[in-house]
Amino acid sequence: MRYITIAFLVCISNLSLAQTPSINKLVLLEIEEISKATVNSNLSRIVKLADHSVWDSVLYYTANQDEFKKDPAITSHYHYLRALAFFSKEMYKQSEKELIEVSRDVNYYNFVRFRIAEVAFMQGKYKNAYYKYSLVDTLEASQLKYISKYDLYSSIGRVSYFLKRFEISNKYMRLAEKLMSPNLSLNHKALFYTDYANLYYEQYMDSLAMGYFLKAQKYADESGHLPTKVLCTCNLAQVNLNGGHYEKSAKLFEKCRALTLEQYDSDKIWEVGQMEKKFMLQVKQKEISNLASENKIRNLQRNVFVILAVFLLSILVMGFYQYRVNQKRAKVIFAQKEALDQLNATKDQLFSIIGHDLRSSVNAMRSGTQNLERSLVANDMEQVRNQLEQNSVIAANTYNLLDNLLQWSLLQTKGGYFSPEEHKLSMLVEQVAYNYKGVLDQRKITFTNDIPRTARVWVDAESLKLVMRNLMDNSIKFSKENGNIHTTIQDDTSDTITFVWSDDGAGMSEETRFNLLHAKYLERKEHKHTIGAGLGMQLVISMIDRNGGTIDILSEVGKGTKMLVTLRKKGHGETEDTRG
Amino acid sequence: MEKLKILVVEDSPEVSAALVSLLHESGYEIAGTAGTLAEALSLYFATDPDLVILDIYLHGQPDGISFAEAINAVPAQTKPFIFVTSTSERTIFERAKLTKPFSYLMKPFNPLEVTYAIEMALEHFYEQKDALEGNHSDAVIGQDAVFVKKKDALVKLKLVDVLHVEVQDRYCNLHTLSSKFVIQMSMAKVEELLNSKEFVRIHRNHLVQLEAIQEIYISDNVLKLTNGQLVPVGDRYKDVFQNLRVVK
Repeated sequence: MRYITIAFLVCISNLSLAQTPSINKLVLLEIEEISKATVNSNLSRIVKLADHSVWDSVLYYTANQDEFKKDPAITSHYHYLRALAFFSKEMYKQSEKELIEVSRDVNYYNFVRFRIAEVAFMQGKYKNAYYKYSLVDTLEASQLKYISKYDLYSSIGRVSYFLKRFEISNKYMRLAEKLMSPNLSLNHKALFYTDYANLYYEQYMDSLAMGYFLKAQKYADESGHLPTKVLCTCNLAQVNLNGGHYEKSAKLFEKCRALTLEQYDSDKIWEVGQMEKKFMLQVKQKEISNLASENKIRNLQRNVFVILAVFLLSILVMGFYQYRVNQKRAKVIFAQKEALDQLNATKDQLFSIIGHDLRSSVNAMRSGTQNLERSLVANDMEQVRNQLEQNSVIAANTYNLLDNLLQWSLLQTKGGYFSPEEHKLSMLVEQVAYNYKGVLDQRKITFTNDIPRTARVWVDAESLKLVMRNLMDNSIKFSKENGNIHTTIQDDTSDTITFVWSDDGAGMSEETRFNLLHAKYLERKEHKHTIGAGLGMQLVISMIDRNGGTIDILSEVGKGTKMLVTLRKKGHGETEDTRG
Repeated sequence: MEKLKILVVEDSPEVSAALVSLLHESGYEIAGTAGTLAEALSLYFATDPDLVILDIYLHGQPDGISFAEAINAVPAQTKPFIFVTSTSERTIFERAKLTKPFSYLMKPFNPLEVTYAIEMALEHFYEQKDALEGNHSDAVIGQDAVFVKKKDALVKLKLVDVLHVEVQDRYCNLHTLSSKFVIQMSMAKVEELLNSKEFVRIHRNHLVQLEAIQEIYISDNVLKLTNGQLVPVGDRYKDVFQNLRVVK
């Protein structure tokens, strides 16, 4: 078999429907009539469906065997319709089965016969098909109502071709050609002539074949049916090639290729269109997912940004807060530094005071003791007595200074026992004055205590005595010989009592007075031998304050000094030993 | 009239000697000097002093306070204390505060300060504040003695020696066997402070010690004391004798 046989096979399936459609229609119409006559709506519906080639529905509605086994008359029609459906769906075995079921009683049974033969052919049972076709051929003219001779002869021609019975094939094809209706479609004509051409070509009757190939191509071009055009053009191209007409062949092959592409294109356009749609869908989906993820990213970014911003802000706030804290701390530190500096200054001054005063005291005692030795050697008892008195005074003063220092330090460290009680003021004054008898005598200063024995104060005894010792020291220091020191009461109310300590000594300026009362730390005094007085005054003020009292100074230079000390009396609802 | 008997508890010989001499000069009697806690306790119970002057620190230990606490444990035996100290140690004083009312002396001290401390101690102990330096009194009446301020010192008068108390203006005369002592105190106060089982008011102006009554002449409204003195009896006070067991 030559190369082109494939083409032959292709056109077979189309060819079979050449004239058959009209006969088919005829058959269907008849069945329609029957259905109307029997008032079978089902059948009517199925026929309509078959008419419109809706084969799946036909099969569906004919599926129920019970339905159409009811009426034997109808059964065959059902079977026929089913066979038709199967055939159209190329399910030839099933179609054959159904066709067999059709009873011979039906009017169109001859058509059924033809169909059976066709089915056999489609299944490749050529011998069988030829036999069956032959049977139909033997029918008498009167029985050819449902037969198309053209179809029959062309079918036999084909079958015998496959059986390689070329003479038979030739004969029947010639017969078929003669019977070809002018109404036959160009496409079919093209295909018929292609088959015919193939037949001759197979028998190496090239010239005849070529004629029919050309005829086929002409019809194909005219028909415009693309697959057919491709087939015919390719056939022609091949034939020319085999015939050595290379130029013609080449042209034809090009045309063939173009047509193939066209066909391919037209076939593919739909597919591509579908694919394009799918692709676009995919693209769109991808876009959507992209947007979604973009959104996500954006959200995430925004979140990160927000978090970052919050974080930075919090750092800023913390930084600011820390700065404030540091500033406060710096302030505190500065204040502490200032206080410390002050304390250091005080301490330094204290040291200088101690050094100076103590040194002078001890020095005085040293020289005094030397005098003592001398006087003793000279047996001057009077002088000895004097000297001893002097020494005891100096010792007393030194002791007072040291006592002051101790009290002062205790005051700083908040140590020291402090317990206010009710005391007899006059007696406290006398107890203090007792220790100064020697000094007072020596300097010829008189001391008078005019505080009534009944006067009471609410004080810590020891601290008040310290105050008075200092007042006495000051008065003595500033008094001349034959001076007077005097204590008395100025005010005595239910809550407070004010006593006055006055002397007629040197007095002080307003500036000194002010400094004494308000200085926080020690200062140099006007009178050079009274440096230690600064500490004493500090202590006096602190102690009086601690006892809940106040002090004031009245003084005039050259006229003397009055110290006014106001103290509490019991009557504030306090019990003894509660303050501390 | 007697001298106040004072027990001195001090471990430093110099301070002890100074204190002793000072007390002597002021007219006080020294019951004894103790240097340790043990000595102090034994002397205390042996001599029955009117007052104890003690140093807080004995040989480095705050035994002074231990002594005070020991004495205070027996309420009937307690007496006024005076703590002597040279430091102002807060905590130790607070512990010392736990003992009964006391006064304290800061070293160094002078006689005036000692007397003042003794006065305060007595006043606190017998809860007669301002008794010794008040407007209206100069005496403290204790359990079995009267402490009277004489000049700058205190003297003691045993109550058993007081036969009869007589009012005179704002003063009271305390009559003993041999002499008379004047104290500044109201009769009402005297009567209040004296033990009513021992002393009884018989007249608006007179108060006698029961033990000192020798004879009672009810009809004559007079009674005779052991020293022979005759004391008038007031009408209003006669009922007092109803409760007495009289040997006719």
